[in-house]
Order: sequence, then structure tokens, then C-alpha cells
Amino acid sequence: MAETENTPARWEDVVTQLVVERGSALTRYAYLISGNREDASDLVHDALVKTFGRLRNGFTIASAEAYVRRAILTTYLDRGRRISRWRKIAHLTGEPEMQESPDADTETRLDLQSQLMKLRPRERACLVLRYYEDLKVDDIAETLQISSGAVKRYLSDALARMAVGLDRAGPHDLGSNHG
Amino acid sequence: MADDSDIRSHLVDAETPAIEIDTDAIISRSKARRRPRQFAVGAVGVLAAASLVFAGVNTFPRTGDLTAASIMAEESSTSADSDAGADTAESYRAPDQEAIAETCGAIIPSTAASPYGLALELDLPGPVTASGSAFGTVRLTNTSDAAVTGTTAAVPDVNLTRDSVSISHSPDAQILSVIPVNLQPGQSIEFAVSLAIYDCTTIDTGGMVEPGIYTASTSLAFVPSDPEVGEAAEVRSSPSTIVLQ
Repeated sequence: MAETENTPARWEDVVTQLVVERGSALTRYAYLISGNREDASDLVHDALVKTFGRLRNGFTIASAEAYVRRAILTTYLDRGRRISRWRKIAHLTGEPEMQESPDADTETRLDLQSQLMKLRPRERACLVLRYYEDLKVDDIAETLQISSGAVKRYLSDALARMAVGLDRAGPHDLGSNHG
Repeated sequence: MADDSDIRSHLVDAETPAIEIDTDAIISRSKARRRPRQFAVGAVGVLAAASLVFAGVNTFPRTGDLTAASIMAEESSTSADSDAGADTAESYRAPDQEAIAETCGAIIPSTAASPYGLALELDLPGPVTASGSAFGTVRLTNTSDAAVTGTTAAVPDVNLTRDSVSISHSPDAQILSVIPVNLQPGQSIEFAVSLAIYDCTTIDTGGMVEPGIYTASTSLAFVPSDPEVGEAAEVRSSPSTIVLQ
């Protein structure tokens, strides 16, 4: 049942509609945040249950999506230990020998993916919020409930780590504009 | 060379594996999460929870009208007392669900109560949508000629009522804390409150609240510091009209 001006939607209908309309966007967000399919799937499901497992109605699709995105992020950060474990074995699942690079773009893309997978949870979260969600540093700080200085440090560390990993650019050459 | 735009385009263009969302499972898990749950905690856990409670909470007597916060605080400390030294597990009902279960459908008194000269006012500025949340303040004022010292629950109870029956209540979470109050004549303190608008009596069928005119009121348990002054009492506001759009 769609929500009308005077008729609040049942939460079950909002869940269903949210999954239909915004499911792919949510899974994509979770995938970028977490870096792997299984964690992304868990994150989305857990975030939806967290959001709708509360005794309240009145969510619109837009407000529910905002809650779910927030829950995805916090759940991901809470699972830092789990992500760390994944990071340690992430390289085992890569197939660098089989990825013969047909062109420089593809090679860069693979390298970036590889380096992104190795970032710490908060570094990765900051990077995704900055470059995918297009949030400014202050907005990231508010979202993560940390200081702007901490966000800049995470971004700087993340970019430096990626630059070192890519072995092709210094930290000052990689994402120097934090907004 | 990878730069800002490379990172941005990588994130934007990255292929995302197909991830199926199981809506039925989500709804099922959400429903389960909404039901009252039983938590088993060890005596150490109970003691740890009780240690967070302000010492004065032990003076909160159990009455049918006290706030959920004070009731839960007392229950925790009572459990701690009775189980001190025991190493067996103890289970108790999740406080948030219990508080809701106790209040949902209850008859809320329609008259104000101002023990010890304490008056309670609820302000929920509109507009409030029937499908949303109301945000406002509760002000506790000492209207007497003497200073009033004691403790209150950290968060006032707020009830949305229809025909004097509570259909929505806050807080909906466990709050095991009380705050000290020392109000000189005319002084007041303010609490920020919020109230999710839903009908708890029909929650299993969606809990929708029709737009219209309702009433809202607030209450707060107060315990004087000096037992000789008196015992715990409930401060209660008079019902105020709230229009849900």
C-alpha cells in the first residue's frame, strides 16, 4: 500500500516497496562499503531488520532508506573485526595471474579494487562516503559521529595506503582534495 | 596515475554482484524482533546493570503509577539484591517491551497532579503527522515556596491517548537512570521528549493512527531526598490537545 497524505503505510508495505524500488541501490551501497558480496547481503538484511524491527510505523520510502543506509554503515563499522579477517584473506580470492590487462584503464581499475579491499573499515567508509556519496568532510564527520579531523586523517591514510599499494603515485598525487 | 576521478569513477562504475533481498525473511525477522523477548543474563550482568543505577533509585517504591524507568530501575536493583552471591543465570523480560506492554491500552488519568508543588507541562508543537513522530519538551517547575530536592526518572513518560486510553507511549527503550533535582521556588528544568505516533493496540495490523484530535500528557516519578518530607509521588500534567494531520 503506498503512503498517501492521510494514510500512513503499513511497515510491511514500506519494506516491500523499499526493496523493490531501492533494493539495488542499497545492495550496491553495502557492497561498496563492505567490499564483498556476502557481507553486503548480510548488511542489507540486518539493516532492514534493525530499521523495521522497531515498534513504530510511519516510515516513508525516503526516510526508511536513509535509516537503512545509516544502519548499513554502523553495522559495517561494528563488524570491524570481521572485516579485518576478510582483509587478511582477501588477496587469496583475487586472480591477478588471470587478469591480463588489456588496457591501462582496466589495470588501474583492478589495482584500485585490490587496494580498496585492503583498507580498514573506517578508512573505506570515509572513502565511499567521500567519493561515492559525494559528502563533504563535515558531513562525513556528522554521519560517522567523529571529528572532521579524524575524517581527514582517515581519508589521508586511505589514500596514502592506496598510493603506496598502487606503487605508482605518492600520497600527494592521489586524492589530495578532501573537500 | 590514479587520482580523485579514478577513485570516484571506480566506485560509481564498479560492477555490483547480484544480491537478492529476501523480503519475507526480513518481515519475519522484524516481526520477531517486535515481540517481547526474554533475555538470560547472569548474576554478574544483573549486578553490572544495577551498578549503573543511581543509588537513590532504591528509594523508589513500586506503585502502579510510577514511570517505567523508575519501575525498571527498582526491579534491577531488587534482582541484584536478591541474587547477590548467586552464580545462576537469571532471566527477565526486556524492559522496553514490558514498559510498552504495561502502558499500552491503560487508562491515563485526566487530571493533573502536582505533589510537593511540582508542576509538569508538556509542549508538543505541531504540526504532527499521524504517521510520524512528535517532538517537544516537558518542563518540570517548582511552583511552591520552598526548595524541592530529590530524584526523578531521567526521561518523562509521554502518552498519546484516545478516550483516555494510551495508544502510544514513550520512552520505548530501557532507561535505567534517574537524575537529581534541586529546584528553588520558581525554577524549572526541561526534558526533550519524542513520541512515535502509532496505535499500540493495533500494532499487529499496522498500528495506523487516523488523523484527528487526540490528547497527550506526561508524567514523572519524583522521590524527595529527605524521607521525612514524604514518599515517592507521580507528577502529572493535565492532558493537552494534539491534532494529528
